[in-house]
Amino acid sequence: MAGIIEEQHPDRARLFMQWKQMPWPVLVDSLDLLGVSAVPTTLAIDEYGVIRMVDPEPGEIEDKFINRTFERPANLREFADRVPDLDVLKQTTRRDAVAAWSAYANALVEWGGPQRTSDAIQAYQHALRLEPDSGSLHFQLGVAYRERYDSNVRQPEDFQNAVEQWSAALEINPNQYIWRRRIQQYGPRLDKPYSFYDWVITARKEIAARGEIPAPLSVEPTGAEFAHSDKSFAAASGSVKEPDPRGRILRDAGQFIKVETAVVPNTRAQQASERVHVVFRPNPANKTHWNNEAGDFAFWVEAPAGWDVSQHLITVPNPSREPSTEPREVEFEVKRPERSLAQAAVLPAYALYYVCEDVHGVCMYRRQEVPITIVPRKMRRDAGSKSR
Amino acid sequence: MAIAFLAVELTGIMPFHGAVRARGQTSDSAEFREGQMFPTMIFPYLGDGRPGSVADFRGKKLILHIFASW
Repeated sequence: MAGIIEEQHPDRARLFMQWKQMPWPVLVDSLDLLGVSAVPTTLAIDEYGVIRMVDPEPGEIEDKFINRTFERPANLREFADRVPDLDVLKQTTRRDAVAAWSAYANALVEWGGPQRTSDAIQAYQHALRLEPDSGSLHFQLGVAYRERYDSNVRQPEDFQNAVEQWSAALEINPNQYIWRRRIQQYGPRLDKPYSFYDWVITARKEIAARGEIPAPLSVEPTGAEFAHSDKSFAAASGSVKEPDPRGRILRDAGQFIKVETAVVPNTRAQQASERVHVVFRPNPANKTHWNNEAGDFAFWVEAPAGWDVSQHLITVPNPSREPSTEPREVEFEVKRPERSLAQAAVLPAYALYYVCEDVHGVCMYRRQEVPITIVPRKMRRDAGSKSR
Repeated sequence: MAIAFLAVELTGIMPFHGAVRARGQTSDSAEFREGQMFPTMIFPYLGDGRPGSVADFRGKKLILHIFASW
């Protein structure tokens, strides 16, 4: 028994396998180089590497596979596992062929480490200039953007760029469910088939109860990844009190806290909901840290007339009284009016927080405006094609 | 016994959490067909990241499960 996983964050599969006590060797195919469009798929492969059964019924494996003798193929070649030579692959791009650029980009993602992800992104972009309608290249570029977003060489737009590339891929091939799921993982509840990672909490408890240490995750699942599917949009109550309605709190224009936003669309065009991710990162340039002795972090968002949001006020409790510098993320969902399916909108929003400058520096209470721009898929796609 | 164990294990993994494909639904990808060689592509192994491929299992019959934990 062996496995191949088709997942953005492979260490989550490692935790899953520890939980379910599945001790098989598993290969990682985050880029979907196999071209799998749906999972799970089970294959019975003979001793020569030939596929003998696809998605077999368990009851037929013994007769049709285990007890059968298969002929050695005449053209069977030996194969050795070798990491591709990145320098050699780079040299092949001199021919300026799509295959060469994509092979180089894929190898950079799989074997180059986080520091080479930017090179991989450039290589995918080059390949896409040669073949702009390649869904797999768009998808793989999205994987690379998200990998860089999760690394220490992140660029602020990486997550949104990943979503744009996955969306472009899905536009090209709407039947590719691995690509669709990669968007839905981060997307709105109306579009979710199920919760993607709610099992993580149970898994950790049950593994710990067995006396084992749960496998660590390099990237913890966030709200969208825990969220369950929903059949209707649960709009926020209008009775919540706005924390700074007159705008009296002094502003942070980004010198203390850097803000990143990503809007993840619904993969079904007829559904007008989006999930918004907003991340707040203390600016290391002036050693900003959260002042956890003061009040909690708060985020306020308003909905334009006819629009709905899932929450107006979101608070993030301080983790402890000690100063900290962790990123703080808020997520909420937006539902646009049916008549506004093709219109962009800006949702007024702001954050309120207590921060300190430097370790023993000045502490202050600040407000930062965080306008959220929602752009329909078609407008984004048209803008993208004009910029190509 | 080994065969029985294999069958039980396979039965156990079929209803994977969050399976994309519904029972009875065929894959529209048609990437894999009986009689084809499985592609000899190199991927990192989960855990230690060393290079590997399905060709590592040549000489043995293999049940290969392609999945995601979601």
